[in-house]
Amino acid sequence: MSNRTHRGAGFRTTIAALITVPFIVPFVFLISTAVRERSDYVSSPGGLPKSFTLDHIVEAWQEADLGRALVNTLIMCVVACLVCGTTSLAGGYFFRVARQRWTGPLRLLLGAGYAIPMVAWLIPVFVIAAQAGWTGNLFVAGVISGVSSLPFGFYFVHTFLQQSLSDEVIEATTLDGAGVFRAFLYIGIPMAMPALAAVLALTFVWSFGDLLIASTLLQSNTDSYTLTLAATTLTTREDINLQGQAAAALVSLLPTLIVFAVAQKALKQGFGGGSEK
Amino acid sequence: MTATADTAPAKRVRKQKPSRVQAGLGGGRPALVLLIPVIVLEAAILFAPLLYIAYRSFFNWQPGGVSEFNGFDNYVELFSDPAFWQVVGNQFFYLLGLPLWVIAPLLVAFMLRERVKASGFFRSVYFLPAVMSPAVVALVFRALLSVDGPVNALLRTVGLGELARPWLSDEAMVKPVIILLVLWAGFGTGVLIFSSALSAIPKHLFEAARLDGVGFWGEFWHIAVPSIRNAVVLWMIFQVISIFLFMFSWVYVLTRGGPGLSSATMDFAIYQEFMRFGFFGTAAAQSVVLVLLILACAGIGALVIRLLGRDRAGKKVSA
Repeated sequence: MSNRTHRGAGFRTTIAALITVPFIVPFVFLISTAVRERSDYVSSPGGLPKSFTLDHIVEAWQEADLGRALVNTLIMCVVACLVCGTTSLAGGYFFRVARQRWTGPLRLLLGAGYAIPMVAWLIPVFVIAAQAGWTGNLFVAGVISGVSSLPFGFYFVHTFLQQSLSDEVIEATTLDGAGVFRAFLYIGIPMAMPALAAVLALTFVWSFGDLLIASTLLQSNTDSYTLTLAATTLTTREDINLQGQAAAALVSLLPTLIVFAVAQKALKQGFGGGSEK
Repeated sequence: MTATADTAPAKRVRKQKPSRVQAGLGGGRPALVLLIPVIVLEAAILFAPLLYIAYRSFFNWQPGGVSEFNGFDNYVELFSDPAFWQVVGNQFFYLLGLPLWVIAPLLVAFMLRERVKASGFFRSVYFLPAVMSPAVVALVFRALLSVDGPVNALLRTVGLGELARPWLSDEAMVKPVIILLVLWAGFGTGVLIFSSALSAIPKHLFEAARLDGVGFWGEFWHIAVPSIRNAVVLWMIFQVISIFLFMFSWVYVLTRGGPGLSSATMDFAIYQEFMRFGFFGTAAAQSVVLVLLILACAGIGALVIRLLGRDRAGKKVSA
């Protein structure tokens, strides 16, 4: 029996390891393409690099103004996280404690905002923003990006509090004479922290990776380009070769990798309901 | 127009509140302050613009200029345009990937459940795509799959040169390739969700089955899948929504909808019509059609959940 189990373990682990290949290869390719000489790549695109250079990264950084794009992206992400985080906390807590007849349907309606296609609401928003002269404005783009994650965010906080915050605790706090804001501040926010961390991590990742909002609202002003917009625009230029594109892509992916490493636990707890301990 | 839509939900709230407030947990009227930001932001940025674009779909819409009311002309034009039907067709072709997108992560989550070393590490690796920008990852795949790219070079090196092809500019290949890339992008999230659902199944169910001599597939189909039915349906709905909602970056970077329109999704087509070609009215009409399609899918999903629930209730009675 133990022998069978052992063999099964080896087999399963091998399959699990094989499945990692398609997830690792694109990144190996990306890194190796970004740091090898052009001639080296052309001679064997599928092979491993035989040369090393940082020229492409430096060139892409300068050509696409990636330093500025990185700062722009971070500004947009921070605004999005602030908007989505605070609003999700307040809204999620409200729906946890409110028990009126209309709160259930309203919660579903606001949550259904998640399923509205982004183009459908972004186009009118763009028209209004263009008339108001708000295109190319990172702050506006950040707010809009934050609101696009809001239906998910507040619903997530609500669901989390529904499980982690019991009626007795809320009742006890209010019986002690604490108003709704004190209860929110001292019970609601601390209890919602794991959910908030997951919401913030995802809002950051989504805003960071966004192309649609950026290409709609920021296209008009090259000074406001985000990393994804700068990287994808760079690749449409004839004079930039594949190495330059790979370098730009690499620079645009690194920050999310860092966020991933840092926020991995929160993300997993959020998605996995705490099964990953 | 915009302003009335903004305040409408808030007004409704105020009107109904006094009669039905329960002092208990609600915190009464002051608690509404916590609700206001969500309502205002969603109404102003999501719902009001949606209503506005629906309104404008009945106009020869010229943003910033004079728009003339033209009834259903935009819709008639849209429905008589073969390009529109091609894009709708693409949309449903992509949905053929659904069994793959559901079963692959489900099977792997089930396999990882036990007797796998470092299963947490594997889950992390599979989850990588979930935190990456689809646009940037699509850039990488565009290079990998290009005519003289590494995938074809590798095929030629190992003597399978006949299989090499222009993956992204071959009309017959491009949609299946994108279906596989969607699998790549969502696989890790699916594994994570299914793993957590599976971990809630009581262990003794599997132990009992094993004593009865049930094998891997028997456990999978007869214990694991039925036990986490809700998670499976939820993940299916999520994937369907993603195909309607979140394909823009992939299509925009990988193929620009091409060759021709053979890989375009509706969200990409709407963006293209509006931002590039300036067909504002039909773009608005197409947005409305897309929303209606999503509503229809949601309705079907709700129906499936209800039927599954009834099925289970029926079984309980008969047992």
